[in-house]
Amino acid sequence: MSGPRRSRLFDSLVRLRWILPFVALTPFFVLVAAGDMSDGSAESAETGWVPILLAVWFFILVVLAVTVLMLNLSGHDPDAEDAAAELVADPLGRMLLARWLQRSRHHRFVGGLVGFILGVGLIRNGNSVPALIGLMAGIALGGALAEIHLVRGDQTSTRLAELRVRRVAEYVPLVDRLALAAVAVGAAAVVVLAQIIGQSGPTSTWVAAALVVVATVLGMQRLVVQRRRPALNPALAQADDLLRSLAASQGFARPGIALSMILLAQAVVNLGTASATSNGVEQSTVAPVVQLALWLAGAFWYWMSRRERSRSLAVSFATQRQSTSA
Amino acid sequence: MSLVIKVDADLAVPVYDQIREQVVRMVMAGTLAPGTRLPTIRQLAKDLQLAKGTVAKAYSELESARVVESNGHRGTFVSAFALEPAQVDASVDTALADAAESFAITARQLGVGLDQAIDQVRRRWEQF
Repeated sequence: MSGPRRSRLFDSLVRLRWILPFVALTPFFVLVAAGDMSDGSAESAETGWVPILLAVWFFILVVLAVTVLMLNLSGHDPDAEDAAAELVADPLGRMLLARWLQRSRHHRFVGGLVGFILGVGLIRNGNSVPALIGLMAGIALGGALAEIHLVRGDQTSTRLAELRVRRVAEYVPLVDRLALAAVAVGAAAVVVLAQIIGQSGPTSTWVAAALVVVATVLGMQRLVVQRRRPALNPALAQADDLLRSLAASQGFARPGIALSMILLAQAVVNLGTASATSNGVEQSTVAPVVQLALWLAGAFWYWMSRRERSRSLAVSFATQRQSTSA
Repeated sequence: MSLVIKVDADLAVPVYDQIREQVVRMVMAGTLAPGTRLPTIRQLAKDLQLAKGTVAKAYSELESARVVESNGHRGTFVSAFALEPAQVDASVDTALADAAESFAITARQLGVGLDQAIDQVRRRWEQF
């Protein structure tokens, strides 16, 4: 991989970036607990060192948080090379996959961070939903932006291409396609229900937002699958297939599905509240239950076992290629 | 085996004609079986970095010659091309002999030995 050579210490720090804060938080909480216990007791004079230690440890935590942030923003991701090595045998394909993983993860992290900060700024009356929506929207947008780049054209007069159809269905797993269809059907159901109850307004806005996300995901999937590809050797073509599939599912589609489910959940809860208010009755438990179910489904889509899925995709594309070249 | 199409903008033959000729060759040889779906005009144009109109013209000529048939939104498919096996063999032999002749002449002009020339063929063969 091109780029400056990083030290082993730097790589180790990057690898440990998510574990370090948790390790560092434990003594902090122990110190907080020790400080609480010492308050008002006879031994408080003897345990006067606790606040000092607490302050020092808090400073260490702040430094650590800034370091973790900078490490993530640096874009260097040694895990990407390991993950790519597990999936692709061809050296050039492995390099391409590692570069994609690095770019996609970095964009999603930055997008999530920016979205979360903007979302926190929109929090009113202790309702943390804007922060969650901002986070998911940022991750999805970051993942999508990682796919929008100019592929430099071949400058020679001779061009080669494979005479093979690339269909979206070959690259996007069935579960993802079903989830997108389910969100669209759910959105239509909410709209019909809103019309029957005689409520629209904010509900329609949430539904429209969910549908815009679904449409964007579908459009982006098409863009990724149809992206220019010259004729490649079988090993590289296999890596390219895997890369397109990962991009069109894990890159932005799953965060997008999670986001659309959260937006739909907001539409449902909005409809429930509006219906109860207009009828002058207490809100039923149906809307919050549906909301919770959609939130959990959204969380499931985002956290779905990803590396295992990548492995099975890699195997499937390898088998497909072998049967084509036989 | 993956089916590769090659175009050269510097050749005197128009690019759309190069596409048409290669598709016809693959259909005649049976490497593109009847019923096979061809890539969309948009996809092939993007992959070959050509204008959509160039690929559309090639497809249109193939359709006029009944080599392919367009099935609306479902795409473009290779027609059921009724050729006798003997005719297929003859057309494959002729096309291969033509290509080999050009290659052999170029190799001799460059003063390259047979082994080196065959080695180049082997390498290109494994490229796709």
